[in-house]
Amino acid sequence: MATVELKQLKKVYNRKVEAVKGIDLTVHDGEFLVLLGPSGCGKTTTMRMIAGLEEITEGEVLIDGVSVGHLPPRKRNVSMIFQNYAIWPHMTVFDNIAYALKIKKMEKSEINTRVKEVAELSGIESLLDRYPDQLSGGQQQRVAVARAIAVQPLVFLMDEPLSNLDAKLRVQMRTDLKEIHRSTGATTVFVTHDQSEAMSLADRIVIMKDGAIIQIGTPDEVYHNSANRFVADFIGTPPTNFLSVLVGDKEEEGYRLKGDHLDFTANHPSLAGFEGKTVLLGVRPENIDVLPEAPIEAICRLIEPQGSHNIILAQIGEQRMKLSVSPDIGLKIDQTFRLRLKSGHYHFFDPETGERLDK
Amino acid sequence: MSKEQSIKRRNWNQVGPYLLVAPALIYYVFFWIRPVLKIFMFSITDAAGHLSLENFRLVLEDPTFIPAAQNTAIIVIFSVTLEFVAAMALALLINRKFKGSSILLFIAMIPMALAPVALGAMWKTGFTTHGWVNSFLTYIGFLDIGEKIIFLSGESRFKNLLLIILIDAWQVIPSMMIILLAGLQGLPKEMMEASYVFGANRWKTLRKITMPMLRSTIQTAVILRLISALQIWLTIVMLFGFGRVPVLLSRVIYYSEEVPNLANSYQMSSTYSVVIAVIITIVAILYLRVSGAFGRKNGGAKA
Repeated sequence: MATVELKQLKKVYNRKVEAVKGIDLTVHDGEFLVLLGPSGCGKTTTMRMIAGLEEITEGEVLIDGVSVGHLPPRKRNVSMIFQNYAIWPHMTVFDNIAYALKIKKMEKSEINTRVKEVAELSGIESLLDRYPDQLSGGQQQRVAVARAIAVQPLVFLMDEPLSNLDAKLRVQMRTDLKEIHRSTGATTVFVTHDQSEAMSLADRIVIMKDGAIIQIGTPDEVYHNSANRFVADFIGTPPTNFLSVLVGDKEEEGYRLKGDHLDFTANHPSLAGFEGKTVLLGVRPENIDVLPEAPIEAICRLIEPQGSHNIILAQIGEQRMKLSVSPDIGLKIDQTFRLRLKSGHYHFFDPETGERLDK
Repeated sequence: MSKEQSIKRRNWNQVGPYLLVAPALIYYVFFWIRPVLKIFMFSITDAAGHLSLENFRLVLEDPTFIPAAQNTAIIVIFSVTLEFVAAMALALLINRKFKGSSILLFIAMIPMALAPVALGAMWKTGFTTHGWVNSFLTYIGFLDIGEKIIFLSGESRFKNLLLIILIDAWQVIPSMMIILLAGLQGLPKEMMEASYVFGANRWKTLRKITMPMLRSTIQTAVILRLISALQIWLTIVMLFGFGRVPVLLSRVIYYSEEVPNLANSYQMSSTYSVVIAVIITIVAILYLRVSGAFGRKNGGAKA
């Protein structure tokens, strides 16, 4: 269908506030790309500049190689799903979906066929005569989806479309959106602040912070090879644990790492040159084993049962970390136990810049 | 809670609400219902105090009644249309929140603060042959020095009505604009943005999305305006006196203030009031029916 390219795209409000600081990004044909970041990171502004709802301060937006920065939204051949659905209350579901088609002066019979088709795809074929205020939130969301599909755009833009749904519906809509994306194969840009939503939907995730791109990668890449401390902390529930350790001299088995109640060796090539310095060790909760003969002593402070696994809040000296373990281990609160980091499943970060050391 | 307390509580729940509305009710009865009834009674009694419909015959046969009704109708139709279009345009403009839009809003509000009497006086001094309107037109070079336009003394009915409509619009547009602006600001921006994304230009969005979504606000603004336009009189009397451009309500004032000593002055004045009230009711119901305020389905208005 189409590619979207952003070239040095910049947005400055009131000549002062830099909301988007000149970003470069290419969305591939048929790709589901998620812009992820905390609120105020510029992800929605970026999307609105692609849609044409926000003026571009500097830089370019290209859709299929054509610069569209100067075009009004209606000439960009994009469609959008809004956070609050934005389906028009004075029109029936049918009229909402047919709005864009009527403007395009499509044949009446063709409009009927098209609306029925997308209504079926979105699971709202029985609601076409209703008004929006007769629909539940989830149904309204589906109308918004159907309306967006109906125009067969080059690019789909979705601005936090699931954030107003309740938790169960949200997870279900995720699956549905992914299926619809598979069947339409449309290039999609999806904005969210919910990292688990991003992980489950995206082909690639773009993590943004303060108007700049921090990392671009597949869900696996950003999860397992987070570019810096911010990403490692932002992605994952619970997020990466950070322990500050002093790098000792290289011994036979690797570098000697010492910290508060910590003393173990790790063979990690990125540590070369950091001897005698303090670094941040980052480890995901599931990459920690609980074993009787493990090198690190910890106290179990809290247990959060999740059914399939338990989240344990462990205290090591003054530092705390969360680990995800099997319920079979049978830890109790205030019990002392021993743990080990899975070899090769942890990273080191520069404590000053937050960048990963082995990048 | 003891039994006694609970009985007390129940008594209060039964009587309390009536006690709370009592002051408003008393006010309403004495200062609203009583005068209204009195006017109604005046309208159906003759000068001697006997029941009679003579007053209505007199009103309808009053040689000024037909021109007054015509003038009122013309003023209502043209001034409300002009005011709605201008107020809507102004509200849309101010709602765009450009630099200085709040200053524009402030300036646009000024006419609203002026009383009709001041307004009449202002435009009267303006439109007299040596008034400031002619001076201004000369100043900007529209008129040659010494050339004057005679606004007020000409006997063209068209010119007089046009003048009234323009002055009325000048005063009323701000209040209508404020209502529409409030309505516009209550609309979620996403609704209009969705329309732009799905292929509509500004004009189409205004017609298909903004106006229909604003319908109940528009109805409120127009109905308030219709009613007050049907009751226009003070500015007209200030400009032209009672005789030259009669309107319905000025007849009420004419009988009670100008010729209060006729045997049936109050009867005529009251009867005109009742006639106006009936006309206003009919017009309001017609408007609401035409604009679709009745019979709207499930709260969702049909486009």
